[in-house]
Amino acid sequence: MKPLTTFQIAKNNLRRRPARSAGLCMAVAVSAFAMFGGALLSQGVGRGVESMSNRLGADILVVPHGYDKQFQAALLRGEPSTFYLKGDLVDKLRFFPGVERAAPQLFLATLNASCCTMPVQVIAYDPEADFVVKPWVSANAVPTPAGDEVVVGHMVGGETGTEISLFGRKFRIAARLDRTGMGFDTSVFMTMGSAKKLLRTAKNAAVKYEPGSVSSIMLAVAPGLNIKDVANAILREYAIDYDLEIVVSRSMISDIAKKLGGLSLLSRALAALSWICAAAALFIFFFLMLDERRREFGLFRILGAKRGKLAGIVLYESLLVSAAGGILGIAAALGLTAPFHRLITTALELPYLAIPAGSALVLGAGCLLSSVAVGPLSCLYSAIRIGSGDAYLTLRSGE
Amino acid sequence: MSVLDVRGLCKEYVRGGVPFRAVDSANLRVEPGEMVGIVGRSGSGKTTFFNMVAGLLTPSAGSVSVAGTDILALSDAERSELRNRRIGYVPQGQSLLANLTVLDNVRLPHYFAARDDNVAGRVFYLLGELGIAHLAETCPPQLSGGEMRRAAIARAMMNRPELLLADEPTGDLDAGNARAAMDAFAALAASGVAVVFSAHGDDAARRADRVVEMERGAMRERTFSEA
Repeated sequence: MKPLTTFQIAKNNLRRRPARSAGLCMAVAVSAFAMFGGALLSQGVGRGVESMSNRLGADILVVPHGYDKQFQAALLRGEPSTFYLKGDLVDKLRFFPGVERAAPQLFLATLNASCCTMPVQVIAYDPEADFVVKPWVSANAVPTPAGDEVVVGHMVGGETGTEISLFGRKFRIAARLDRTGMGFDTSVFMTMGSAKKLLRTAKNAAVKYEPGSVSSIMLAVAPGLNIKDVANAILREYAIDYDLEIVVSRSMISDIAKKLGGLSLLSRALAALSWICAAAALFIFFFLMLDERRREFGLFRILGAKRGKLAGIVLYESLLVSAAGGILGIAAALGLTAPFHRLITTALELPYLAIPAGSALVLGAGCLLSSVAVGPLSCLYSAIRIGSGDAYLTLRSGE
Repeated sequence: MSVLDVRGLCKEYVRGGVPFRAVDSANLRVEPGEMVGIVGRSGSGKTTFFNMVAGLLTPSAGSVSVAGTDILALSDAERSELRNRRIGYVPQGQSLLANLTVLDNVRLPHYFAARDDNVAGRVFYLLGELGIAHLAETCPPQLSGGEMRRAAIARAMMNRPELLLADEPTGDLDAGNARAAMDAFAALAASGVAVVFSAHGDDAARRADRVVEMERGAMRERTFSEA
């Protein structure tokens, strides 16, 4: 015969009213979901922004007029797009006063997947001039891809050594890069020479490439100069002739950081609000429920239960409810945030880099602890109140 | 030494702004193995008296001694412990917990005593004695009134009390079940437990060694010829 325990008594009491217990459990689950899901999301975005600012070596990004949003979308989230600038601008900017280095990039969208095996963003770079992609690719101990080779982002399908089809042409996957949380994860990197060759033989008529064009030019400003002054000077000189737009990377990152700040604040506010709502719901429930159960607690007193024992039973019940709700909410947050983070961050226009499993575990444990605490804390007053006064009056008031 | 010694026990309430004595200077001594019946109409103060004796209600005046211990001198925790170990109480009406089986209801006092000894033997002995061992795994809503009352008596006996208090134990039972309950009390008294029970009428009281009448809070012992 199993011994009678506080756990068993509390469990039986909760099972007696399944709908009400489930409702309370849900209140805590919503709180845990908001807390853990919000934290996962905002910390993931925080890591994405950090990763981006570490990898974006250019001070100024030059793109065709009206394409700054597409460029940011491609950079942050790998949304494929194709746009062109006249190629002679590269040399002009390379020798522009205040510009230390200029590196062109060519973006080819493969969204119309008929051309390729999957929708990806092809980013072609000039290994000789490049100072943005190459250092990062080298940091992954990856050599510059040869003529028929590509380096793929972390989330692009295909094993190293196998082939990938782009615009009807096959390329060998030379290496795979680490996860960045940016658009690079769904991009394919090749040299500018390979890309131009590819475009000449492209089977897809939708790709209208003007020979010599580039998509963007990354500029590094000479040390000590004001980046905005150089950007304004470039605009004055070439904005009309080349129909260009300038993105100052520091401003872009600071805009994203502001969004991140807003997201973090919102997720914290939501988590705090839902915690307070759960605590209020539990407080009201236990306050009313213990009033209803006065006779039961009076009977316990008749049988010799001390006040502390009654409080223990009530606290155990609330602990079970909040623990079950906490686990449910955290599991739901984990189940929904992981597969849908891309959808969420696309909607928020933010980069995302999932936090490591160890950190997620610590975060989850913290959220669970906070959720579990909400039950006993909110019913503490009721638990103390139930044992106060004469037991007989408690019994009578429950009749 | 008397198991129960009540002297000058009073309980005064204020009802509608007027002081009202639910129990008025009650005195009662009960020896081990004695069976005492308290008779009186509803509202005569029987339940209030029982609850003060059990330490569940603080008296306005007087003293209650259980097995030589003045319960009013004890702290709430000490009183709970005394109630748990020395007093068995069968409250008025249905007093089983609906969400626990008969088995769990009966072993509740043992759980509150936080004892480590094996409880199964004692539970099944009591249920067997009261003829409800086959109902151990049944929940109270599936029991008849008589079965519930017998389970409540078994629960009151769980920790081998010296004093058993039963508040109208036959009040809502048919003649057969009432007789069975009184048989159980008589058996307990025969084993040395002091039994004090209350009843509306004289049928049950006839089984008692002594009968005490309660009217408007005051107690009066019936002489043999009255009983």
